[in-house]
Formats: sequence, structure tokens, C-alpha cells
Amino acid sequence: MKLGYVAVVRKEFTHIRREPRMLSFIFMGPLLFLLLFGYALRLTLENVPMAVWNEDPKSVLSLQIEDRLASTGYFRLHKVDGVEQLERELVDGRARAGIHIPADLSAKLFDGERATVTMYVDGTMPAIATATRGEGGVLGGDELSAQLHFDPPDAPPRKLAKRPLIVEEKVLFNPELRDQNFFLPGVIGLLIMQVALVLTSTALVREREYKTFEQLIVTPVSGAGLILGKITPYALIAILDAVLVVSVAHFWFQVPIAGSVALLALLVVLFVAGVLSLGMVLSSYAETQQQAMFYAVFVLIPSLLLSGFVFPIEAMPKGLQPLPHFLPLTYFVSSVRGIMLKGAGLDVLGRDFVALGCFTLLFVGLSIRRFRKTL
Amino acid sequence: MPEPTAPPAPEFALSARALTRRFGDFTAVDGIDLELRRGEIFGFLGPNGAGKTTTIRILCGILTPTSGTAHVLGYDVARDPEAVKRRIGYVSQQFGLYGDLSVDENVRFYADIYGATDRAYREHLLEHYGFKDKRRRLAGALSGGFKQRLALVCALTHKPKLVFLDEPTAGVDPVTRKELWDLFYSLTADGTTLFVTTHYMEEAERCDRVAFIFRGKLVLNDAPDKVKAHLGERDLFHVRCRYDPELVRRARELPGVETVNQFGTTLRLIVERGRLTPETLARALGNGELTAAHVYPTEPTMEDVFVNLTSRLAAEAEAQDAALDAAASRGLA
Ligand SMILES: Nc1ncnc2c1ncn2[C@@H]1O[C@H](COP(=O)(O)OP(=O)(O)O)[C@@H](O)[C@H]1O
Ligand SMILES: [Mg+2]
Repeated sequence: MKLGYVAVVRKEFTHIRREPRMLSFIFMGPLLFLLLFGYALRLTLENVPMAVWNEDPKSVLSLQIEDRLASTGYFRLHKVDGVEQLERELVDGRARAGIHIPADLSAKLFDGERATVTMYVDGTMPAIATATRGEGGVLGGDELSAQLHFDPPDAPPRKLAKRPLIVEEKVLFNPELRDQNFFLPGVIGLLIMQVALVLTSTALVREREYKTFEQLIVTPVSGAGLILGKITPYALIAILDAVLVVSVAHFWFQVPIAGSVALLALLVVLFVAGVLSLGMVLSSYAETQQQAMFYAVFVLIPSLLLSGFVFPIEAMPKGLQPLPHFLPLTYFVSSVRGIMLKGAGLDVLGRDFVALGCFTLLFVGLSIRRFRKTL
Repeated sequence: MPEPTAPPAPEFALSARALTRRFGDFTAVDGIDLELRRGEIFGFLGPNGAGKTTTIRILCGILTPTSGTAHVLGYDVARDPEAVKRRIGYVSQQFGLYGDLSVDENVRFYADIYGATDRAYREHLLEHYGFKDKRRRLAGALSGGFKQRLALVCALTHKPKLVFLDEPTAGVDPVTRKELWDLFYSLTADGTTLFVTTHYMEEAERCDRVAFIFRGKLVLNDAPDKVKAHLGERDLFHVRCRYDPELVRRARELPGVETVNQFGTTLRLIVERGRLTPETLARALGNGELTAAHVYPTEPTMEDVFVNLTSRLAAEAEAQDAALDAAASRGLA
């Protein structure tokens, strides 16, 4: 055994023991993430929200088509009125798929002709889109004719066309279903978050660790002056970082920017402000820089898992679905996809923007309140 | 911000009444009364852990007192700490500047934060404190003495009327220490009041007034040349002898001896007045080698006074504890 090995091991264990908070993180963290993966996170989808625009609502046939879709267990149907509303819901994310049943559906079917229904699919999440198209295929098959019944049941059977429905597909927003278009906008958020959290979470506690804190709080500096003063430079750095990442995603990886660049910039600024101020809050709770980094990781990983960045929020258990709403990244991911892929405007994204703004105010307020100019 | 507590130019730069600070059941500062006249150098002495830093932190408004009040430059520290902070300078015991910032950058930061607009004064300070050719040096790379000077400059840009220096000369070589003291004097020449803590006894002589704190309590508070009078009716003997713990033990048991301290080959005894003469002392310690020629009465130093005061205080506290214990055990019986 090398000289000093045992002594060093013992000393390190003693350090660890002196920081019980850290110890609980070391064991609780992996456990928490394991539980998340075990219970909450699914790649396969159930209950994909599907908007149904049924122009032939009186017809039993159209209702049977709806039943058929619902019975796959894959879709959760709700009614909309008109193609505008349907597309709007796809833009704002209330629906991930949609179907349009035309007014002449039953008339055509009764005449033994084939009728055309249109499936709309949100292409921003290629995995969902592919699966949705697959499930939508139930309408196109041969068996369907056998399953479409006429009311009353004792009426003489009429001959339907062999494949009565023509399913026309419209993949919106990301028609080629490119994975980059799905991942990269979210990655932008993740990168901003990582940089911003790491930069600020240590900002306050560093002053304590380097013993500069006492000399600082004996000056007339105000809490707001100090907190905002610490956030601002990092905000500029994080925004530059965002510009870099968005440029590479757009110009090199060809991720489109379907919406307004100004809106994208506003989103980035709001998000950066929110995350930096969250970092300040973490910094005010940490006692050492190491602890602050742990806290940052502890915010980062759940954000990654629960924001809808990879795992669709719809696939999480009902009880956990409110959780993503407490994470700034959730709002960023849905908005950035909205702007870059769907061309969504402020009318659709307003709520997300307001939420991000509220986070910033809350976190800044909290960190200023928590800041004490005493030892 | 309202500044309601400022009376017109109070006579004292600082006054504290029954200032107390507890940490749990431990009382770090115990009912301290202080008054600092404007323009004086006030020396706050005491061994490590006596409560000097804690007292200063309360007076600077960065630690709240458990009880008692303090007015600094006319403002109540507990009620209006920010008004105090704007007007004082403070150099903390631990180097508190940014090591990765240069001399200039540190000074500029603190000047800006205090809203100090007098650039010429800043330049003057940097020059006067010897930074002429060091302004771009990183603060972390400065020597101990220059770190202290820089901390002082940073605490002075806003021309505070009262400056707290917490052990500014700790761990600094004697030459540098003298230079630092010259700087302190030049400050008071401008009418600034200085509150300096130290545990170097010889520095106490340089103050206008000294107070001695021991276990959170103020033991003494007077002008340096009056401190010796606090020894009261006592004689001081200086004995030249070999280092011998047995000798100390024997000396302690002599009648009238209050404190015995051995410094290498000398023994200092504080004895009740008239109880011993050099001859009787030499004989009583008598190991044959010692004669009256090795023993001579001497003038007390400030250190002798503090040592004597604290040992008497400790003895009193011990006697009190013993009495309490005795009473408690009687109560139980
Ligand atoms: N924040 C604190 N919590 C608990 N004890 C403290 C704290 N600060 C100081 N003390 C204790 O108070 C006593 C006085 O400390 P201090 O004022 O730093 O002494 P000095 O500056 O005279 O060396 C010490 O025993 C120290 O351990
Ligand atoms: Mg101290």
C-alpha cells in the first residue's frame, strides 16, 4: 500500500461525514431519479390528444369512426369546430393529432363510394408522429367495412366499398419528421440552463467561501443591487451563448425558424432571466460551492426528464403531470418548438411567456428577500 | 431612507451600553460599555476568542446584538445599520478583498460601492499607501503587509469618520507593523477615529486609550499610562533563573503571591504590597543557586497588569463556581 493511502481515505470520509446535507443528496438523488424512470417516464404514448372536426355529426358512421379511434386506447378525442381551430390547437399543443370528417361522409359511403377523411399529425415529435400515423391506419384497413354498421341493425345490409375510407395524411410543422428538428430546439434550452445555473448558483456562496462576504456586506451595497448586479453579466454571457447555439442549429443543422426571430429572442431573454435568478436562489441556500453545484444538477436533471424535452408529458401518470409546470424549461421547450417549428405567435405563446416572466419575478424576489446583510 | 437617529455631532464617535451577543448558551460578548472620543485611537485588546471580532461586527452592523445598544456616529446600529455602514470603514480580520482583482480594480470596486466620488483622494491614498508601482498587481499576489494596506485603502475611499481595524498587524513583521502604525497615525491626524484590535501588548502603548476584553467581559478601559495604576497595592519582582517548572510551582505557593509567569529564563511575580523583599523571595524559592542578586523589583508592564487582572478574574469566577457547586450539593443533601 502506498504511503499515506489509509490516512487520506480516512480524512476524506471525515470530510464527507461533516456535510450531512451533501450525504443525503448523494443517496437521495439517484433514488429519486430511479423512481422517476421507473414510474413516470414513458416513451410510448397513450392518450394522444386528438382534435376531431366532425362535419357529419348526425351520421352513425362518423361516430363509429370516432369510436374506432378511441378504442385503440391511443387517442383521447375532443371536438373542435372548423379547420382553423383544429390547426390552432395543433400549434398551441392542445392537440397533437386531429381528424377531419367531411360533411358528405355518410352520403358517399351509402352510395358505395369511398370517402376521404384527413388525419392531421403534429410532426414536432417524430416518435409520436410515426406512432400516430400507424394507429391512424386502423381507418384505412379492409376490416373497417365489416365493422361499420347501419342503424337499425335489422335493416338490410348495404354494400360498402371495399376500402370505404381514404385516409389523407397531413404531417404539419416537421413533415420530413427530422429528429434534429425535434431535439435541437430543446437542446438550446438545456444548454442555456446548464450554463446559466452553473454560473450563478456559485455566485453568492463563492463570496462566503473566499471570505469576501464580510467585507462586502459592511458596505452600503443593497440586496437588490448585489443580486441584480451579479445576474446581469451572466445574463449577457448566457444570451450570447444562446445566439451561438441557435445559429448553429439553424444554419448548420437546418432547423427552421418558422416564426419570428424577435419572438425567439424575447423567449431566450425571458428564459435566461428565469434560470439565472433560480441559480441565485440556489446560491442563497448553499453553504459551499460544491453544494451549489449539486443543487444545480438537482434542478437540471428533473428539468431534462420532465419538461417534455424527450419524454412526452402526456405519457406521464396523471398525478405527476402538474410537476412539469413548476419547471421553467417546460415552458421554454414548448415555446421554442412553437416558434421554430410551428411558427407560433405571441397569441399562442403568451401564457408560456407570462409563466417564464413570473418565474423570474418570483426567483429574483426570493433571492433578494433571502439575502441578509448580516453574518 | 429616513435617518431619524442622528443627533447633531455627538461628542462620542461611538458609544455602547451593555452590549451582549450570545451564540447558543455561549456568551461571546457580555455586557460591554464603550465610549470612543472623536479622533482618538482606541485599542481593543484581548486574547484569541475573547470577543473582539464579535464586538466589532456588532458595531459595524453586520451582526445583531442579543441585547444592549450601540450608537455609531450617532446612529443606532441595531435599528439603522445601513446608515452606519455608509459612514464607517472596516477592515476585517481575514483578508476580504478579491484576490483575482488587481489593486486598482479592488479600490475602484469599493469606491464605487460606497459612492465615493473624490478620485483625487483615491489617487492620493494609493500613492500614500505605497501602491505607486503595484497598481496592476493582483491583490492575491501581494505580501501580507500590502494586503493590509490595500484593505485599508479600500475602506477609506469614502472618507469615513470612524474606521474599525480588526487585528490589522497580525502575522506581519515588526518593520511592516511600524509602517502600518505610521499610517494609522496619519489617519487620525485628519480627525478620523480608529478602533483597532490587537493582541500585541506593545501596540497598546501606541493607543490613546485601551480596553481589555477577556471572555467577553471588559476588564479595563483607560489611557495606557494609567493602566499601570490598575495593579494597585502590588509589587512586581523579576527573577533571573534557569527554566524550572518546579520553581514556578513553589513560587505560586508563597504567601501573597498572585501571579507567576515564566518567560524562558525569567520569572515575573506579582505580589501583594510589602509581603516579600528580594531577600525573602530568594530564600523562599531557595534552591541554593538563587540569591537576592538574581531578584529585583521592577516596574509593571501593561502585559503584567492584564495578566494579573485576568488571573484574578479567572480565580474569582472559579471561586464563584465552587461556591455555587457547594450550595447546590448542600441543597441536594
Ligand atoms: N458565529 C459564531 N457562532 C458560534 N460561536 C462564535 C461565532 N462567532 C464567534 N464565536 C465564538 O465567540 C468567541 C469570540 O470570538 P471572536 O469575537 O472571534 O474572538 P476574538 O476576535 O477576540 O479572537 C469565540 O469563542 C468564538 O468561538
Ligand atoms: Mg478576532
